[in-house]
Amino acid sequence: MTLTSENPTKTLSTVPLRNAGAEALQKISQDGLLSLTLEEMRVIQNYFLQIGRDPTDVELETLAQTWSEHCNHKTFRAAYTYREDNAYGTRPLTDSGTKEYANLLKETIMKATETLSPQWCLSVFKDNAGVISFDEKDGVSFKVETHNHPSALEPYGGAGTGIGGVIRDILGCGLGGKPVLNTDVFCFGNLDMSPKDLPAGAIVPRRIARGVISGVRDYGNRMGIPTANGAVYFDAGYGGNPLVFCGTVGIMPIRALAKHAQAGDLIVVVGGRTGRDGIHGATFSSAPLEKGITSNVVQIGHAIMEKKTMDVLLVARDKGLYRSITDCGAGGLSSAAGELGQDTGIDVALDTVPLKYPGLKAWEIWVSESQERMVLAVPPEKWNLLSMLFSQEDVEAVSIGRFTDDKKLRLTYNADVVADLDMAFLHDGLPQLHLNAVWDAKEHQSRYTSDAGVTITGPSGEKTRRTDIAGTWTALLRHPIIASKESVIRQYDHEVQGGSVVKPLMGVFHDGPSDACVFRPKLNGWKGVAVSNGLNPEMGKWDPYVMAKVAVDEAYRNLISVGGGLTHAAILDNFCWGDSKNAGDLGGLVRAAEGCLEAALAYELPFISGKDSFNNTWKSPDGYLHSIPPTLLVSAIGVVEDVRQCVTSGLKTQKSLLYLIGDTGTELTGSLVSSLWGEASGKFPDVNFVNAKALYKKLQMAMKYRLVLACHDLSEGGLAVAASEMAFGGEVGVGLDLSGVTQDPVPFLFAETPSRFLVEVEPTRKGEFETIMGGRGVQLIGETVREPVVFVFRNGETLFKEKVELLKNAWKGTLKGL
Amino acid sequence: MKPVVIEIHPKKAAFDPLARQVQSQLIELGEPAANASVSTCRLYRLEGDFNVEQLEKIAETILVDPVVETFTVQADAAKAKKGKVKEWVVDVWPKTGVTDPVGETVETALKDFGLKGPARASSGNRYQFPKIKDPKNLKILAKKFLANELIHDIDIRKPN
Repeated sequence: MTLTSENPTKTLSTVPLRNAGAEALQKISQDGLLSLTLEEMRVIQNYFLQIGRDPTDVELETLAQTWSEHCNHKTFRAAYTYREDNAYGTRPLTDSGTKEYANLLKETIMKATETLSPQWCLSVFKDNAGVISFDEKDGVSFKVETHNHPSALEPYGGAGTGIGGVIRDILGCGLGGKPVLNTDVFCFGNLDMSPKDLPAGAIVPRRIARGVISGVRDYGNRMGIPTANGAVYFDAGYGGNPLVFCGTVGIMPIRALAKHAQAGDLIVVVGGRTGRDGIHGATFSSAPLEKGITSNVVQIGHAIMEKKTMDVLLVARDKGLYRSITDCGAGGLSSAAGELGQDTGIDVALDTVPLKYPGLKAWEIWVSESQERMVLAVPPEKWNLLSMLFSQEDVEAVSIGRFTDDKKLRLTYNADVVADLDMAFLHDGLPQLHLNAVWDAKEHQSRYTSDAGVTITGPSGEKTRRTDIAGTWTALLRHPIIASKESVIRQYDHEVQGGSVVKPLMGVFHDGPSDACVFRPKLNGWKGVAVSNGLNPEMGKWDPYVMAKVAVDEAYRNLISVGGGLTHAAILDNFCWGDSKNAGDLGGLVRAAEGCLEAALAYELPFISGKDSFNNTWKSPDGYLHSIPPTLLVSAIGVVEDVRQCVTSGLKTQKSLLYLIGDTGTELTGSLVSSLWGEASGKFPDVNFVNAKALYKKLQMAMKYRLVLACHDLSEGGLAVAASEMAFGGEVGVGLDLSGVTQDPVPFLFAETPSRFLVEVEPTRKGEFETIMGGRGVQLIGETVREPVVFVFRNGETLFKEKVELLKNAWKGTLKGL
Repeated sequence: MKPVVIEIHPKKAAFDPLARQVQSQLIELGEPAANASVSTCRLYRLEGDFNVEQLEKIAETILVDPVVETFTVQADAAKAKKGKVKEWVVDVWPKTGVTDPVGETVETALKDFGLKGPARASSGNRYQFPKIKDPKNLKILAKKFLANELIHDIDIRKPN
């Protein structure tokens, strides 16, 4: 990055668009890193033909930011023709072989919410975050988003600004909420991947992991916000394109939900100054990761600046000093001021924007994604008070223009008009895409599960045999996806603010895993919030439709497991997908969206917010273009009436009973054990929502009556891993008796059939527990024992026996140095 | 005034977590443990109208933790850069224009300190390797682990 000494006023220019042919239009878009398609360029050309002039560079940049994938979600909002060419054992979505969507997002994710529309959903899909009610006075807001491409280039800065950005979403939701929890979920390439398998100059996964974790740690910790929930996933498919999901939960007064800028209000930018950082971040996120990236797209965070801004903003909110607010994220001032003034109009003087250093051109000031900035609509009569307050707290607040009533976006630089656009065209002029999506299951599965230039096998690269129970058991515990994430979790402050109840690590020595975190956003009562997530990209390689259902089930199951939010819970979607021009990738997207709809309706879990990231692709040195595994992160949030009734996963005592809740299937496809064994049965797991919902309800009832001592959901590694992890938390032995199991006991131990739990119950309360749970899907499977071992027997034969200590060492060893 | 660099060193008995981390990365790259000795220091480059007394006061009151750290002032940064070094040295600074939150905070602190007139500050890191024989691993370390050339300038100096 270099600074120019040119006079910025001389760098303003118009772009000769009106007479440009197709080739020239495409060149303008490519050379300017605008990521606009030819069709979009033609629409822009027509607009300027109608108004009889060429656009300025500022106007073209404004349109490119507002119409970017990041800001407009044009792929997800597109019309689709979905065709099934070859279902190959997967469930067809349509009898006729084709299905039309007028708007995929509206007809799947948003449709679920619209159908359910519970009263406690206060704000969905219209603000910077989704909001559900917490109590009569307050709501909890939740947003999760990705920062993938910046993290691939500069892991520390990319991840830090990822968490910084999502914190600002909470500050910019309604009139602002107080951030009370951060979550983080990462998908990295295998830690031992060789640079030979990665694009030239790419950062190796181990370094990306360390940088990303440090970035989230430093930003979150410095902000004084606990990071208490998350996951780390590994797959070679993320080698050149890691995924970094950052989430924040906030608490805000319900009365602060509504916001409207009015004509005459001042446009005030607060917080950090504007520099060249992050220029073209929004349009960059619409493009594949390739060579030739400049430092301009990298953003570096300044957590202390954001902390000061956050603190003073919440005071200003409570004093009623502003009428509307949003964060400066992707697209910078262009998106923020443009959005706030969408219904009114804005006049901004770009030369009044406070700069980090001189030399920025007008369009750079307008689209810069410098961090830690928020934009407010301030009534003129409140300006003096607001200005004084921010000054007292050493946070810069500068008025850069006014909201108008002419529905125009008008920008000046040194009195020259550099942009004059109709808001209607800016916000509604983007032509809708019409995309073809094709589902060919065989092609999809072969593409994602076979060797295509890099090793697309299990992250550990380890192989075992089906007949080797002990070897499989320990290999699973060592598997990076299952192995303890203590080395990561310990870097985060999960205690700050004093509200954490169920922490990420629990148990006798505080090193057993938790299924979800529970915290109290208000310390004057026992009401709490549980947050969990569901993620299963391995299944996405086989069928994204099943992956979506399993991910929703896992997120909800994790909430249930700690005793949180059976009927007062909502979910968020984060789709990270491959090539948006590949009909096969889009076929998977349609299937995943349909899976979301089905699961959300069945569990009555409304989606309240979501985000999508496309073109997560990378080229290996052999020139092969890899799409990342189709990845859907489902984040769940539920309100817990009394946190004192929450349950953790560590076993509590000896000689108690262990129940397996939920039926175990025979399918292994998409499971970690199948990758260890190098086999796939061909059958897919499925979620029986009716049975699962009934069991979840009963289990929560049992928890309410305090019949459950410990509970852990069964996910990767199945029963074997769940039993081991419960033993790790409680430092208590486990004996599993499979005599009553009619199916092959080996896959039974490792299967990942969804909707299952392992539950510890006191023997004296056996009758009560069985009465409440009643019926099918509840099986007494063993007991806790005095000897610190985990063992499995069947009809008198010992199938497996190992010391808890040895298993725990295997589990804790893999990621120790990360 | 010429740019001044203030070096903040951990005291000899103090634990240097950054050095420990870099050392393990160097060993991961294949450097024999016996050669992988590392020490680090924080660097601050200041530009403004300071005298030596002020600089020492700034270091003492703003930049150093006197319990575990000491400092030295290189009054002429350019000259110091050309001077002799006894060991392999890697300096990492943010490129011009890249956000430097620590540098920005120091600039604010200089104003609070009462300094009049404009002052610029930037922050960097120095890594010193007294036992390295073959710099091959060191150069990989510098470019792959200690810095990201997209946003950092790296200056590698050999013993002379």
